[in-house]
Amino acid sequence: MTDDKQDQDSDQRYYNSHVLNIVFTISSLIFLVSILAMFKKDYDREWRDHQKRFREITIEKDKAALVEAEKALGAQEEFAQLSEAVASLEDSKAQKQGEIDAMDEALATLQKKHKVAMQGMNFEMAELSAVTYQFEQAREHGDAHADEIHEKYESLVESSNEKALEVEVLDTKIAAVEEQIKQALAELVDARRKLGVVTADRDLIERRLATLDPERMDKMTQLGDKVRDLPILDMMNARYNVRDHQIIVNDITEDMIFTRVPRVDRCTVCHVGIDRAGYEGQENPHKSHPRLDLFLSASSAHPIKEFGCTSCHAGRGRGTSFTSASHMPLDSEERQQWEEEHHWHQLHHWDRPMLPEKYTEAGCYECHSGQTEVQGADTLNLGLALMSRAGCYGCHEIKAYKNKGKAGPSLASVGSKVSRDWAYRWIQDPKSFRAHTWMPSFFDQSNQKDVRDRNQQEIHSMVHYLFETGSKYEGPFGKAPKGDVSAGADLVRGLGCQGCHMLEDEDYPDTLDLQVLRRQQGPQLSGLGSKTTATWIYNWLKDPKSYHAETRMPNLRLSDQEAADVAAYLVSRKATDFDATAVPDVNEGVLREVARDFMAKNMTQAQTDRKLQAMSTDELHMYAGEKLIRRYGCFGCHEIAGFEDARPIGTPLTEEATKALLKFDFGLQHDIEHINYGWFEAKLKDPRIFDHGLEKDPNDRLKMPNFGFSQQSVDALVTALLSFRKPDEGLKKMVPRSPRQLAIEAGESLVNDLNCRGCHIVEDRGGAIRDSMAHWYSNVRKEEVAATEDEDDEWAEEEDAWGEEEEEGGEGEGGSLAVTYSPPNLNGEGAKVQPDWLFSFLHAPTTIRPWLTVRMPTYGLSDSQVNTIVKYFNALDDQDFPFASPTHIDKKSPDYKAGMEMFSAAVMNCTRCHIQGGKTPEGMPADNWAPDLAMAGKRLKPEWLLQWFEDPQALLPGTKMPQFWPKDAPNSMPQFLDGDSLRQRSAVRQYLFSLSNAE
Amino acid sequence: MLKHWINVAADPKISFPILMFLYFFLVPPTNWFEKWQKRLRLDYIWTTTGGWILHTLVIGGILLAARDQNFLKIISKPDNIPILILILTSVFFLWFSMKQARDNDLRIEKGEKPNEYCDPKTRNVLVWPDLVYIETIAAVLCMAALIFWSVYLQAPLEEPANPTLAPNPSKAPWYFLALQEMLVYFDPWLAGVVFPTVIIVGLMALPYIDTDRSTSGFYSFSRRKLFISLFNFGWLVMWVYLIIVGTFMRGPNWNFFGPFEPWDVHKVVPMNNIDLSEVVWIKLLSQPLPDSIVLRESPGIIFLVFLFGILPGLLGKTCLKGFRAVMGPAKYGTFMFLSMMALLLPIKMFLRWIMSLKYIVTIPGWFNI
Repeated sequence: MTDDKQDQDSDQRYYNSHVLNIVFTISSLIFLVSILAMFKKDYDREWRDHQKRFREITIEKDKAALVEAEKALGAQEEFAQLSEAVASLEDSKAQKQGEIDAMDEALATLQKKHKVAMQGMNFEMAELSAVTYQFEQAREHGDAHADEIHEKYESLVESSNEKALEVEVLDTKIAAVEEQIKQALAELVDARRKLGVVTADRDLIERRLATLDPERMDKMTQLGDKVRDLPILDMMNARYNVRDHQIIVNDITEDMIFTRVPRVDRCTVCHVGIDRAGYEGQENPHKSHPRLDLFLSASSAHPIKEFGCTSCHAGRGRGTSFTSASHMPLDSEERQQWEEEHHWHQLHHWDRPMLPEKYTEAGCYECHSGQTEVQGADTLNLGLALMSRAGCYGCHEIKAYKNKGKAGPSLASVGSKVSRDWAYRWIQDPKSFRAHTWMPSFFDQSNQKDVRDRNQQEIHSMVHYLFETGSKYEGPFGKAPKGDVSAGADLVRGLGCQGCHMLEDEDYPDTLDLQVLRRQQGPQLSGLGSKTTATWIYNWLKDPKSYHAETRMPNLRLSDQEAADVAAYLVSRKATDFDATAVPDVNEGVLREVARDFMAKNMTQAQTDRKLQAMSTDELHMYAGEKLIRRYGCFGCHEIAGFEDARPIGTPLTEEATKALLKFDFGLQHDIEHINYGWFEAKLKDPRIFDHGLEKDPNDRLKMPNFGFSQQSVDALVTALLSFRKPDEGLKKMVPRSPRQLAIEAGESLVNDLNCRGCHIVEDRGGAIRDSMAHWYSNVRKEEVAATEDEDDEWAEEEDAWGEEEEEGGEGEGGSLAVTYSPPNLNGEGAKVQPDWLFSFLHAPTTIRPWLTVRMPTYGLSDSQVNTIVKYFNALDDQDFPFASPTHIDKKSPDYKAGMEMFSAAVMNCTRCHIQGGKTPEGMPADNWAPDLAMAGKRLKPEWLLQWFEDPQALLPGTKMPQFWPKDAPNSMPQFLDGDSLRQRSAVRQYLFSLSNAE
Repeated sequence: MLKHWINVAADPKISFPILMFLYFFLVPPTNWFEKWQKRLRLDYIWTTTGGWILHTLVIGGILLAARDQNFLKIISKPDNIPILILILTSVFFLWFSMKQARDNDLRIEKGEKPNEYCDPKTRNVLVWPDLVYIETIAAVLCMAALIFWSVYLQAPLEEPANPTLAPNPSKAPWYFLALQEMLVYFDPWLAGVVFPTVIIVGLMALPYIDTDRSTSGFYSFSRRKLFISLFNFGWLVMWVYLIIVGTFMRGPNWNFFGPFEPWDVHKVVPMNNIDLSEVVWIKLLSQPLPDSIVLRESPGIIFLVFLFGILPGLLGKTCLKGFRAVMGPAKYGTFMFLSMMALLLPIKMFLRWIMSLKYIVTIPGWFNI
């Protein structure tokens, strides 16, 4: 419609068309703006900036690397020679350039002809195939034209053969010319190849830079690159995208309610360099992963292509922005910073938010849940160990600790062990007796300020109940003989008690680790004089199981005098401040209130009154005590008469990390992060915090006791809690359940329960006692050591000549003392000792190293437990077939005789250090003694001995055993058995094994 | 302080009666309340200036209220934007249509033709360009609005549904919130089946009940005040108002929260509802409940019989006498049945609020209302 016509019609129009035109123009403009806004929103992606920045970083890095590589090449003589050679050959090539050009031209002409011929041939062939088909069909159906077609077919066969021949001839000609050219340039090509080998590294960087760095591109490419880098247009730049950066892990799936889909992790869309080495110093998100040895790299245990990112870190793998990836801040400070910098907000509807950095290790447990410790996950390991040590599993069912014994001592005969006043003071405030005790505080907590009177009576009732029920312990060994305090002090330090017990408050370092926890397997040995009697300790030491059958305290096979000395020393340690604390009187009125509240739950008021009236104070105590012990769940950690079958009182924690957030009661606490780990942290720091501000009856209040955890412990515990997830069936990366793995896991669990690592090093971990042993030897027993030092010197020189090294990690003299006087290192034990020997040794330990004061205790293990340990050691060392036939001994053979000679004082002089049949080495300080050789035949694996002779350091780094048959050196004893190392070693072994057989 | 009183006043116990009362003053003056409306100058609303003031008050009030963090959080939730639009457009269109009706009423009083009157001899409306052009403009603007909306407000997606985990509060889509609110007062078979059916049937029946041709083609309030009032009551009070309550004021555990009150999951509200039979027999007559079900439920039954059987007849003989005569018994009966059904809801709601009424009639296993 033209404007004229519009004007003509305007008087017939209902609306003013001019106004409508303006409105339409404005509407269209608004519409245009909305489209542009859509473009902008779609284009505005932070990952694109990150990828651009990463490109810049890579260019900078490669440029620097290139300079380095050039410098390195410049210093290389070979490079100079080769480049000179290439240069001179280039020169000579330039001289005969005319010749080469002519050849090139000839080649080009031939190739053009070849192409034409090739096309002709292909067309003929295609025609032939079609005619062949026509002819076959025509013949089959008896077509009248069959003969005609056949003729055509014949002629086509002929012409196509001609064409093929033409191509062949051209092929030959081309090959000839090519060969000519190659001949002419052969030297140059070869020289370039050689140079290329030398410059390979530099060339690689150069090639990479050529595609990345605009400065190194030709003008057209550079222009293209610039254009494709422009805003909006870079949507089309293949360099920046999500698709090529995302990781799709097919065998890890995500639950989409009705289906499972492969996990897609787009983290690397921004964290571009995460799996590449060389970006360590960069800021996030361009940083390399800090542990590429364990994660992401193709050679690590967790390659990125197989594991992705979110299977460990959690978070929303499909998110491509800071917020939508569900990053989670460490604390409120970081939260604020993120809100400002990234406009971050929490994705409330993503139920697997990313683990904040300090809890990352919780991600390990999902696949490594069978293990007691996860290698490298120190925080998680500490958390798991703390849960075990603090006895969380006593009240909270946790699958990982299903078969663990109770964390605290038995209270079945506690009346025979401590006094009522002590028990009262202890329950009231355990930390005032021992600052580091694991017994948590139930009273004087933040939600009990108004019920202090009541709590006092509650404690009285519980103590009463404990003392009135249960059995009396009459020590089977009678009254303790008189003991010597100082001898006892020496025994406590020398026997190895400190592998499991701390002595002084100063022994507790500020930061916790597993090693420190191992030394807290048992209670601190302080204040025992206030707690119990010498006779009780005496009987306990003589046989701990006589008091508490389930105790983890082993029997150290102490003589009567030793036990009496230790008992005398321990009771000499008193907690005087604690003893002076007043114990309030029993208040029957308050006591009745306590009892009434329990009764009122299932009785009428009249019934309650009647029943209370009829009760004596003792009866009230017994009634309330029983109810209170049930309420506080004391039986979770302690064996208590009458509570043998009681169920744990706490929330099960096995799947705590996947519990819905709305099931956590935050009470009136609004300053805590509203997420499960915020709740955990607050709860662990003050278990009663969620009662604050609420009106509750005393019996309805929160009752989790306060362990007084440090921030470090809380972080570790929260990490462990976050690892307790409901199994995700889509996560198929569990550590394989092989028999070997199962044997190791079962063994680790038992080794952990028994605290073997308190004394021994197993799997490179443990030996917690070493520091205290070294400390004792270097300070307390200095004089004794000093007395032997003179004799030592001579030996020291010779030892140096053997090129021996002391174990790493020792602290000078203390360190070497620690190695010498500490319980042995059990790395490689499975390969070393015979399984039947280990089995009988664990049942009834015998002395192997008489120079040690520490004593391997008797644990009273069951056969299945011992088997678990034997299997564990053998599995660790891949001893699939642990049993071996006895070594054949022929005393008449020349080998045997040679073995005996080599063994003798004149040659290897084994008995200079080794004990033999109980005879200790003469003139040798105990520091240098070595195990009894008479035991070898029963104890050591024959195959192991051969390796041991060859290289002791490889099997047991730091050992003092000299190396007589170094692998790469000439045989040091060529006079025996033709200098054949293997034969010599076997001979010595034969002789050694005969020593024990003789007994 | 003001916020506190608004919180208190927002409680349906108070806001509902206020709204019911105000409702009659919020329509153009007729012979119902004309004197009062004129005295209070409420008829000023129906002028252009009055409209500006009204809208300024509504929008200004919302903006002022939005200075409260809690209120802002609720109204700016992407889910709730449509409701905000609903409120503003409801106010505007109610005002706009009523203004036109008022203008026409005044013209007719003076003996003029209504504004919409169009003489086919002098004026035409062409499909092209008049109709198609403005439709195009409307389409372009709608498109632009939808694009802006979808670009700047992300769809409120949540985690994959989990059958073991119901969100708290669990809310229906916003346009069904009035139905959900009804579920608080009636059993599901009534609130979820009977009432929606009656609403649909009632809407379908409207053209057959109101067959008066003399008022079609233009806006007028005075000539059809009963129908417009009833429709507006159903639409504004029983639908829009309940959507607003359901969206903004129903928090965790379906507890009621004032607009400035934080949604605390732990808020505890006493809920001791009792049946009408208990109110009458136990509370008023201090007697145990009779064993006979009919006797026990007689107060409720009498009430229902009165509401559906006697009240329409009474009204037909008194204040709706003329209306009944015009309509005839069938149309009048249908109309009254629908009206009483519509009345049942506010009556029950009101009784719940003032005396915690659970059921008017309850015959367990058979019938609860």
